[in-house]
Amino acid sequence: MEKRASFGRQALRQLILLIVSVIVIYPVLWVVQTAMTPAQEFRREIAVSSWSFDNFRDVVSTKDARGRWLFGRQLWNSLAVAGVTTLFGIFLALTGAYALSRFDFPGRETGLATLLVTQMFPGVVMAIPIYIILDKLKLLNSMWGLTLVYSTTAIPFCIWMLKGYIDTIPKDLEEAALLDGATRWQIFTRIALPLARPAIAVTALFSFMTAWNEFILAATFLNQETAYTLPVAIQRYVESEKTAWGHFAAAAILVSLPVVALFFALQRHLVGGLTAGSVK
Amino acid sequence: MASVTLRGVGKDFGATTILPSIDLEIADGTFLVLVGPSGCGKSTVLRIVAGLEAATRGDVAIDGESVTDKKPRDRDVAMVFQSYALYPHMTVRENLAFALRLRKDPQAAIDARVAEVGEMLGLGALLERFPRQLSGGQRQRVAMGRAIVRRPRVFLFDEPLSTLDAALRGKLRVELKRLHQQLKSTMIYVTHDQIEAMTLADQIVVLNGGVIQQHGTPDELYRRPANRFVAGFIGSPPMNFLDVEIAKDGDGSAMRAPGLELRLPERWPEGPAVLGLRPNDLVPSDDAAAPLSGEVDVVEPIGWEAHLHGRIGETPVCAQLTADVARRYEPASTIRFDIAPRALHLFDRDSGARLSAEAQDA
Amino acid sequence: MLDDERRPASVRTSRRFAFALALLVVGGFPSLVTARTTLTLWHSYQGDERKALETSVARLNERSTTIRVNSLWVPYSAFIRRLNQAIPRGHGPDLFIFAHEHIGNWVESGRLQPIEGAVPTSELDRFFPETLAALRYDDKLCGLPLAFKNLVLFYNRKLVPTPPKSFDELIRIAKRLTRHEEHRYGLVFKSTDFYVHAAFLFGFGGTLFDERGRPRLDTPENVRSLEFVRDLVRREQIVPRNVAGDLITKLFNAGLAAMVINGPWFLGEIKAGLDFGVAPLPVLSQSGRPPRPFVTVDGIFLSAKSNHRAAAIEVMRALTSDDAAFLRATLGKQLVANRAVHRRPEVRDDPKARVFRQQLRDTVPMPNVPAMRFVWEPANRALRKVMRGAAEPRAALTEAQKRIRMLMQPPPPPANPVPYAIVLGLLLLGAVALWIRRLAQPQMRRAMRENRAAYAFAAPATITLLGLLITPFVMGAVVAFFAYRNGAFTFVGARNFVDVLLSREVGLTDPLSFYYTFAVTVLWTALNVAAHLVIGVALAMALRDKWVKLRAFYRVLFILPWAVPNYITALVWRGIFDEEFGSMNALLQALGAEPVNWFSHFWTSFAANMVTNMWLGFPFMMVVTLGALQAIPSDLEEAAAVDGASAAQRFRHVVLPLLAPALIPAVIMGTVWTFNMFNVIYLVSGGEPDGSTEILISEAYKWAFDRYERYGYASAYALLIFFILLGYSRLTRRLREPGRT
Ligand SMILES: Nc1ncnc2c1ncn2[C@@H]1O[C@H](COP(=O)(O)OP(=O)(O)O)[C@@H](O)[C@H]1O
Ligand SMILES: [Mg+2]
Repeated sequence: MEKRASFGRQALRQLILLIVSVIVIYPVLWVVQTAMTPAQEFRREIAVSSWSFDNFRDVVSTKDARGRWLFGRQLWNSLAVAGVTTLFGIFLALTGAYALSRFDFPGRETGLATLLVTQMFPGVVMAIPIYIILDKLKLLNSMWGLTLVYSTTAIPFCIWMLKGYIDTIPKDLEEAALLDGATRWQIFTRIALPLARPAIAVTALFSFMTAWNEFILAATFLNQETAYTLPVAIQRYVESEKTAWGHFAAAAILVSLPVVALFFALQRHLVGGLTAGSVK
Repeated sequence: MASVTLRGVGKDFGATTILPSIDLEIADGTFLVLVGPSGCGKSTVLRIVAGLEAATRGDVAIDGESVTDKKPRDRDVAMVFQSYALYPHMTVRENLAFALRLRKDPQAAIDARVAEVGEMLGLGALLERFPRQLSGGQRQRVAMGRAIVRRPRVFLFDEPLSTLDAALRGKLRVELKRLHQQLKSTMIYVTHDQIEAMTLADQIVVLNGGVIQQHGTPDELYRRPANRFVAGFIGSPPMNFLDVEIAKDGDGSAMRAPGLELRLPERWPEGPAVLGLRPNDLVPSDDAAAPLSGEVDVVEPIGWEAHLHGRIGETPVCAQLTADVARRYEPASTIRFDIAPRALHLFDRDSGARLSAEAQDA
Repeated sequence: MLDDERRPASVRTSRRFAFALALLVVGGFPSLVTARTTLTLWHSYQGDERKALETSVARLNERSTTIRVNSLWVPYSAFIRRLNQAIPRGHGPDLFIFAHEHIGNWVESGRLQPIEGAVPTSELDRFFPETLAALRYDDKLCGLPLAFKNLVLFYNRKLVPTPPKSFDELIRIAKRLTRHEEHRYGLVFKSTDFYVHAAFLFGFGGTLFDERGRPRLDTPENVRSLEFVRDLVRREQIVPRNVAGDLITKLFNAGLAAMVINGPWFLGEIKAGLDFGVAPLPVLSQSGRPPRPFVTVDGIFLSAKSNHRAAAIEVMRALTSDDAAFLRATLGKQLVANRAVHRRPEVRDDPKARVFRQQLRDTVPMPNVPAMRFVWEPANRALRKVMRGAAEPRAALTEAQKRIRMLMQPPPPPANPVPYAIVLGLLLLGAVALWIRRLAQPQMRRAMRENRAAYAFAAPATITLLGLLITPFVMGAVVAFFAYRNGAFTFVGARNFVDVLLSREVGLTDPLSFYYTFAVTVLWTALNVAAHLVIGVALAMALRDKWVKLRAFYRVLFILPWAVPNYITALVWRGIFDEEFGSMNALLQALGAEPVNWFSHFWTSFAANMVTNMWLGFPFMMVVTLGALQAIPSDLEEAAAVDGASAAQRFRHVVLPLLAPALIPAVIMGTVWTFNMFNVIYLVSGGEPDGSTEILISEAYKWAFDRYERYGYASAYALLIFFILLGYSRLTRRLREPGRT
């Protein structure tokens, strides 16, 4: 549009961006530096005197008494729980959002209002009831119970977001497909689903994050250390009498990496997927 | 190949009635154009035929068989949308093949059919492109192709040309006409553009406010508009209307208005009426006895013809003249017109219904 | 494992063979082999302690043909919560290892079964009597001791060649060695931690309970102990005022602390090569008595719901045998409770272990009665106030006493459920009637029939949401009408709400009052959302134009805080704000300012929470704004520019109104999330100082899990939170859905 801003304005803008960058990066660098410092202590200078991967090695090579490779199993658990949660979450959110976006059925308004309301549930009171319900469903101690709970936690927001996105997909397309002989389900899978891909990517991301980061329920439900997820396992570094900062930092990096990678892989969709509904 | 029948079809959205009751008979192979101002319910009629919208009352039949309770996909109709509704995530080929795939035609048959239709519409080179890589006209053709591929019993078009520029619109109109001649299928075409209606239609239905105003051939509609609405809607530039008073005058009638003094041999109903005159029926005359006289405001030359805008009494009128003739009139000068007797259209002032001369002549 | 290596190879192979055979037999003829009793054991040991325990368990499993023990490490932070949830529902362990101080509560709530009489008295003789005493509740033995922990004096031999015998002597030495400008201190201990202070309290003859067993803090002896420590800190100034985190370790390792009062875990933190000694705590010259620190005992306990009492007791005895204890002492470096182990040369010859054992005689078992949990918070609060100079010892303890009385209030009396049942019944009836009325309308039924597909699509999400979100919420909400005590719920009607809302127990401005916390929560939410909005929009505007240098890079970089798991972010920032080691203070010092003890003042603590939450929250707003900006046609702004609007005017009058439709829902969502942002508060400030930076959700959590298991009270809090948010969203509905009423 207008001609480029004056040099002064540009410089100011870059300066602000630079400052924010420093603020954003600083804690990250601090964690990296702590992870790279061999001694289990808390340091404050950003100055890496000697690089060492000992902390990473210690964390990754954690084994239990029977010599089973705990870190590997816990990583696998986390991946499995988060992966299945993502699939569940996408399925539940997408079908739900589709119904809310495409049909004007009795109960729709109630549904929409309820979704918003669930965001206001204080999680604190729900931990014990969830435990009781999973117990009744015989899903305690299993990955499935956790997975269900996680996908349920993530879906209200995901439905809200997906519905906004699906609203922007022209209805014409589906009517055309209807005339072309498609069933409702075919329209859903062949037209709506591929077209909602950016929003699905974001849904996937949020579902994955919910499952990947949760530790309070996981620490309560799972009955075997080999079944723990990584965030539960990480507690060991934070809660001893003396925090093992180096190990904590190394573990934090290892745990964060997959989500960060996923975030960056999907960040192109983030902008569109998140806001399509509200800006139309 | 099929006929389409609507019997007492009506539609309410909530408490508002959009279509009170439509009766329509469309013979096999007809190109029927449904025309009317926007918001009058044309799309709704079309969507009811397609099954995308359920009629609140009445019955739709295709080939004599009621389809009111059938799902869209069981009606065997195809529709071309105003937005084209091309699947953005499929190539042109996939778009064309989609319906055939869904009904599980053998792959070879699908390929052959897609190729054939692609050929017919000149889409051959575009088959591997995505819709976003196509121009407006190309997209339109793909949308038609998608309808044609299936060999449906009935084609439905919802303002398919309205988003295109004028030149392209003209060209595609011709193509559509050719297509109809080639396929000989029943086609229902919705538009708000009366020129499209006139050029394309075998039959035109004029719709206003959800009510059919007139149903007939383009020629019938042009020559004998059933009411003032149809008269004003069909024809370009639109018909001029003058409020007149009709009085008895011997055997015939006399029509008067400021700037108008005309004797009519037939006997017309007395009282207030509206006179309709098509711009090309206004013939300038130097004769001081010519029945119409008015004042020139603006002359608009358009190549070999010109539109002369003036006033008769206080009513603005438009006359369609050849450029040569029009050049003779300066703004603010007086102009007189002759009217051919057959060019008169008289309408009831209140109801807008067409008036006819009394019995002896009818 | 360990002993495997000591055995000759042939034995090992033959054992493997036997094992393989056993497998075959078990697999082939399952009916012929009696199944082993499998017992579950929960613990939260880590590192060497864990290794030692697991080795003992492995040996036990090898030797026993009838019992198999599965041990499970449970994170310490989740241990009690999990135990309390799991045992009543039969998912708990058979055995668990934990500090002894909760046993009273566990017995009262039917989670732990005493083992009185199950172990021969002769066998109990193998433990130090002090450790057994700690495990008695209501005159019944509740478990067997594994290890004990108490405080002693550590001293740097370079600075203090011989340890002082009395506190007068200690003060003299300490004064000589204290140099405030150099951060040198004669004595370092956590003077604001009641666990530590108890040593002085008992040394002055103080007590925690009156003759009827009710907590009583404001006794003259207790006041005297507090005055004494206050003088060490504030008059003699030989002790640093605020000892948080790892300051003790840091100072001692750096040679800046001459003497330290600390427990056995400190041994593992002292850096190698430092020449130090340990000594019993010196005698208090004023009272002529030695300080008597608390002793805590790690015990192994039997779940009330275990079906294998006999087998479990056998395991308890095996894991507390002298051999197992020896392993824990040598490999696990624990101070074990077995007397005989302390006589074996490996332990006997360790002078440090001897000192702890010696000090053990002058200890008080940490009270294990349920009432003790009401003492901690008020006592710590009093200590902090006094050390800060904000209150005199007597006044502080009087206030603490008041607080204890408040916390100890008996649960509200049972209420008559009938009126509630009637109201509920009427409401339900009304709802059903309304529903039936709607269903009776033909157009409604028709709309439902026509939309059958919609219900099919909505079903999966609806069912899971109903089952796992709405039902738990309703169940949780129902708890708000009950009071919980010792494993049982009693119906109390709306009493919890009345208590919370009338705030009768505490003043309105007390951090424990609902209104205080509500005000903090509103402030917290408003400031955070405003900050997120301003930062998010500003950054999005800065990154909007295509020609901005490094635009793509910044855009990716700025969503990083969103990508990092927020509990990690919170812990990291907690570290950054650490008084001694955090880089925030390093920065301040580099700028020439005084370091700040972030979590000891409301505003600094609040600011630390804010900064953390701002860091992790702005990317969401930025991304939403970026998305909305994309949809704003540039010709509008161009038109405004042509009309002579300045950049600021264009933003204010063109861009902002067009952003609003996207930003308003984001702000509303953001508000709801921030209002309930538990992780940041819990992990960064933890409510410090004195619970003043707590927000409603974290306060509710503390009432339920960290304080006194007041589930009903916590649930009333949670319901109030919910209604506040619901009201908020109703109020903002107009904004959210313009055009709808
Ligand atoms: N789903 C609907 N709900 C309510 N009113 C509708 C709906 N669809 C169309 N209408 C109204 O019905 C009238 C006819 O619409 P339509 O058939 O699309 O007109 P057009 O002749 O322009 O195609 C319009 O006034 C429109 O506002
Ligand atoms: Mg239309």
